[in-house]
Amino acid sequence: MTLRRLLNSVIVWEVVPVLLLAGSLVLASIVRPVFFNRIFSLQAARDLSSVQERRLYEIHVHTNQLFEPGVQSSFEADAAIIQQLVNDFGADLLIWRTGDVSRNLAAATDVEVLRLLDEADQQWLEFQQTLDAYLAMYPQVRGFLDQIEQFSDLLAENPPALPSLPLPPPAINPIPTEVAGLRDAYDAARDNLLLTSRLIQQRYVALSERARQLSLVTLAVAVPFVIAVAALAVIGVARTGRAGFAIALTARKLAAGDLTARARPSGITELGDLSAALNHMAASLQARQEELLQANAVLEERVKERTRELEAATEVALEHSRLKSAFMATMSHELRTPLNAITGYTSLMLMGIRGQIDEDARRMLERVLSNSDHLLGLINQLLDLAKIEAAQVEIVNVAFDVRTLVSKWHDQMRVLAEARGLSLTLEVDPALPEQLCGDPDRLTQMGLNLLSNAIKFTQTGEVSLALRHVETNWSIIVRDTGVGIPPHALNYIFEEFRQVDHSYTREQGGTGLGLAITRNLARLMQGEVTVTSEMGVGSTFTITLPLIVPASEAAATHEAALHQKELA
Amino acid sequence: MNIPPQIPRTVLSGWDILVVEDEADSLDIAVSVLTYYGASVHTAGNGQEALHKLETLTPRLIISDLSMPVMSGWALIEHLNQDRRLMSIPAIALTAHAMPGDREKAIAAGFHNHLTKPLTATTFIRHLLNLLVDIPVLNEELAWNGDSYAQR
Repeated sequence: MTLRRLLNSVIVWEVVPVLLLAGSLVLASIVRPVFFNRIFSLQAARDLSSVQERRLYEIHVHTNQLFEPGVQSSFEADAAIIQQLVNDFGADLLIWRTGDVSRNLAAATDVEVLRLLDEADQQWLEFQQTLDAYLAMYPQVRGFLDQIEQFSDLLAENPPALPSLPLPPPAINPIPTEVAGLRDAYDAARDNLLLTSRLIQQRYVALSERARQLSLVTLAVAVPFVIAVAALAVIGVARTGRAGFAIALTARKLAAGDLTARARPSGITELGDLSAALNHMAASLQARQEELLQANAVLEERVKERTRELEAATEVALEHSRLKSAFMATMSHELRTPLNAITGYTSLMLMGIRGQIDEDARRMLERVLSNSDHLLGLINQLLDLAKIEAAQVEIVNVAFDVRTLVSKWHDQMRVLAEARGLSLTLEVDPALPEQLCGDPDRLTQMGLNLLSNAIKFTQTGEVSLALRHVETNWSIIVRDTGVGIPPHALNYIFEEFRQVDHSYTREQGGTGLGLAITRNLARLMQGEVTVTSEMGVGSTFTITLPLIVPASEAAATHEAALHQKELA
Repeated sequence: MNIPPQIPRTVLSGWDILVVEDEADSLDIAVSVLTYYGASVHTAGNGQEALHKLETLTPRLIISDLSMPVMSGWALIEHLNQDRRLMSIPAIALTAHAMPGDREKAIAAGFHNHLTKPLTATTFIRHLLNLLVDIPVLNEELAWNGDSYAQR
């Protein structure tokens, strides 16, 4: 058994119920049953009435429940028993006092337990001394009390006998007038005496009552000073304890969420202030809670309303989006059908399906076909742009070999460049990783667009395609030695249908949508397209994109770097 | 897929091809091109007419528009898929539907593939042949002017 458990079993609780019964101050302690029994036997030995004995015993039993060994005590359970005691015994003076020892025992260290034990023992000793002093005085006090009681009882039960008056027997014979007058006077005097006697009796009764009351006062006054102090202290503790208990209960209820709980006002100033403060706090808490509930309800309603609005707006937006998609699909279909007839028939003619055609007719038919192609390109790009704007374009993020990709662009565009007498160069920054993450198809769309623009607007010289690795980004740079873009136009060339010279559009087959699409795609990839240009010298378009390296590639690069370091 | 630069006019010789198309110009062009390359072309104006034709005809290939009155290309392919005799005939969608997902939808419905209008006569035959060489049973039938594609 550890020291703590040993101490615990010795102390357990310190509870001192005090009861005032029929003018007798009875102190009962259950904490130390031996001690209680001693008190009990002392009290019993001193002629306590059987009623008093019974009540003491009942209290003993009730309070013992609080300290039943092995029973887990809780605040609520203890409170219920105390409440029961209060109800059963109407005990204004029932004290429930739980010492610090029991409250703190669970959390205390052994040293603290020893200290608390010491304190408790000190308190107990003081209490014992007070009690012993009282008990020593008891016979004396009791004797005095008994005398008063006996005297008052005597007075109450045996009022003084009526004074016996020497009255002659009533006269039978006619009474002489003077005798009759005397008789009347006698009767009057007798009645008067009887009345006086009754009054005296009443006085005695009142006196005995007063004497009884006096006996209580006398008890308090008569006991030695120490007893008075002790009793007052105990009574004070009782009142304080009970009021404190009530306040604690109220605080508990409040803490548990019952904001309607209120502490009763207390006559004890500090506790009165405390309970008033507690009540004030509870009232303001309750008001706050009600405000909060109301605000919550309003807020909830508002949220619901907004949600409904949002749902409606979303529905409208979705409907618009559906209509737009449907419109785009229809437009695409409706434009393609006649275009199909135009290109189909023209190509059939060119194929010579209905016999050979002369050179002039061939040239004209080729123009028809070329314009049809242009129109088709326009339709495709318009749809593309609309799709990007409607956020219907999904940018994929896959690993691709960046050098292979740009080589394809180079191969594809070199034919076009050479047809115009231009050279197309390709340069890839060696620092650029082999594998990158991104959307190769969309990158191709963007790269080819910039390249075809560069070739289109360059009469002589060269077009260069370069890839650079700059910190956390990589860029695709297309430089030309073309006509250049006037400064005022640099601001709007990325806007739809904004070519500087519209004649080029028709001549070169451009739609004026390529740069807008390229910029939109770059932005979808968290990148940007920029341009610098000098009239007559050339233009440089740069697509800058965040550099995303596939996980495996990143690891490989890291390893290579480590290897390089080791070698160094 | 390397289609010879000069496509022999006999490449589709001996082929019965059913073209289903409601739009007269498109039908005319398709028929002209396919006939030019040697095919025996049969036509239908919609899915229902096509099913009627297919009662007595087992073509080597079906080329069908999607949006058509009476019975669409979608309904037609559904019927074909449920017919033991017809389900093995490759069908190609020829349509002006060019929105994203249209090709996937067509393939999911049971078409072998999807050609988007507008097409020139040349691109039509080239794209068509490109699709046909992917279909083993048809690939072997293609007459490559002495250069049998199937042997590669």
